[in-house]
Amino acid sequence: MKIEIVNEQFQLPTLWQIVRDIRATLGVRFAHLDPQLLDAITLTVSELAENIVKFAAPDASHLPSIELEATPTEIRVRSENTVRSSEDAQVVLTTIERIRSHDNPTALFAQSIEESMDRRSEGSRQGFYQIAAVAGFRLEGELVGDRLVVVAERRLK
Amino acid sequence: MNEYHQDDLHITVVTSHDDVVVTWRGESDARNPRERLGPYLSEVARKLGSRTVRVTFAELTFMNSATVLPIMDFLKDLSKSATKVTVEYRQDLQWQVTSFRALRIVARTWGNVSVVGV
Repeated sequence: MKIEIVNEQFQLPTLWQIVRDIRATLGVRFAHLDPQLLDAITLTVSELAENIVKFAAPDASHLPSIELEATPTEIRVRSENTVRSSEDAQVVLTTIERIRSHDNPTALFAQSIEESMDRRSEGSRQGFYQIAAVAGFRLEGELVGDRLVVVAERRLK
Repeated sequence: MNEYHQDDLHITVVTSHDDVVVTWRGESDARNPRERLGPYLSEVARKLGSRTVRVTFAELTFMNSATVLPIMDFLKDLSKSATKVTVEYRQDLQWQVTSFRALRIVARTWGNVSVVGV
């Protein structure tokens, strides 16, 4: 059998590219929504996806997921992933509880920025503050076994 | 120093006789913007000492949470080196209004920085 010289290249997308692809999909799938609402949804889904890429544990039997449900009265985004450690999950749950117990998300977002300005590592979970203050979503978090579930909801007028 | 390009983010620095305009365009969504973007912005801030600087985000279409800290580091550096700093955002975009409302709170003690909607 004669084998010809063949050169084939395969480029594998980075996990970060998946986050971009999700944003692009949202832009197409929800193009009918009010642009301001679409911006808020895109920010929320994107930040939850970024968190999964950055912090989720690899788990082939339970792939991470993000589910988006839009009704005339509510937008609901649910992310689920296996956690790397209970300590890691606790950081998320504590952050969400801090946000839920504060009555001014903008002031809290500003406070979290000030607190983070001296840090130089990933892990400040700034995205949750941004989801609450900028996108206007209410957050809930729960650890079910080794699965972290985060729900972001926004009521529509 | 005049230009920065990473993925869909473009930053230009245009110097005129009177002032300097730093324009952000596109999407800022790097995983760790402090690796590349941070050093670039530090260099820009260092070179713009004693100038009047306008930083405009009006053409920025998306900004992830990881971008916020490099922006604030940049503005804080500028507040120390530049004569006057004006930060512009689009007041018809809700995500920019709410984002820069928080950034204005952080910058409130930096005397020469003003954050304005355009």
